[in-house]
Amino acid sequence: MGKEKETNATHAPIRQSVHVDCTREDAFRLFTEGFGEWWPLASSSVGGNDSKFCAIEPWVGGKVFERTPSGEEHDWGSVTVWDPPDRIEFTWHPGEPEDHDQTVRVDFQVEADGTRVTLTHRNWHGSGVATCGSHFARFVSEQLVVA
Amino acid sequence: MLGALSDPTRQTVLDLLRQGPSTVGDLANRLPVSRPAVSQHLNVLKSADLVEEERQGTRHYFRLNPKSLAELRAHIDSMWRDALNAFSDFASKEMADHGKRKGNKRNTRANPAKRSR
Repeated sequence: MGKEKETNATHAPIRQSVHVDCTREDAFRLFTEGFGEWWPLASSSVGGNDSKFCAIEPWVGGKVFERTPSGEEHDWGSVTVWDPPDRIEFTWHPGEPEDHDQTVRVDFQVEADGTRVTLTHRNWHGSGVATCGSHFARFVSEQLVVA
Repeated sequence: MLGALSDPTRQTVLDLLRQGPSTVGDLANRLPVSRPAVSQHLNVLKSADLVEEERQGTRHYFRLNPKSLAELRAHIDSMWRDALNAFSDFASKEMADHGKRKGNKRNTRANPAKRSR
């Protein structure tokens, strides 16, 4: 995890990676098709405990979104690259208006005994504090107000 | 202190400052509020330690407190780390279940229908 350290400016892309014990094809399928089953909605969502469903629509222009039981939807971004089993990329603006500056890219690379899944979040510093109140940025509101 | 972030204009000021340092005049031009109102919001943000003031010659620039940015970075970093760990756990479980079910008909998940938006 986090083997790459960005040492320069605080604005450098955020990168995290993880190993999974399966082929790239399975990793890509489980990541996208199974998104709603593994994403930690309780801690990372606009609706928090109210949200029970999230998904990635599997095509360029498809939405990354969550939905509450009452049917309210919150878009998190739109798919800009759909290239199984190599890569998926989407814009990222949970709880905020459409924003094409922030992007999340997920690469699936073959490595010993499985696949390395690497996530790169660019222009994250554009995250609006406007999201405070949302669970996505709960930390921001909690931390910043006591700063 | 909670008040510092409760106001939508102040949230917008912070969003603008995330793009780079700015003067009161520049901010006022980009907001539907007066210069004095912007100054007042900046004072609140300054006293909450969210924003710093820096003088360059005769101009006063306001910028985000870098500590806030470092904290935001740490927060987003840990969000993705937690998410990827959850994904890895899910993938391991799915592959193990899949192995057990080998020979049986694999349950297929319905594709999400294309939503009209």
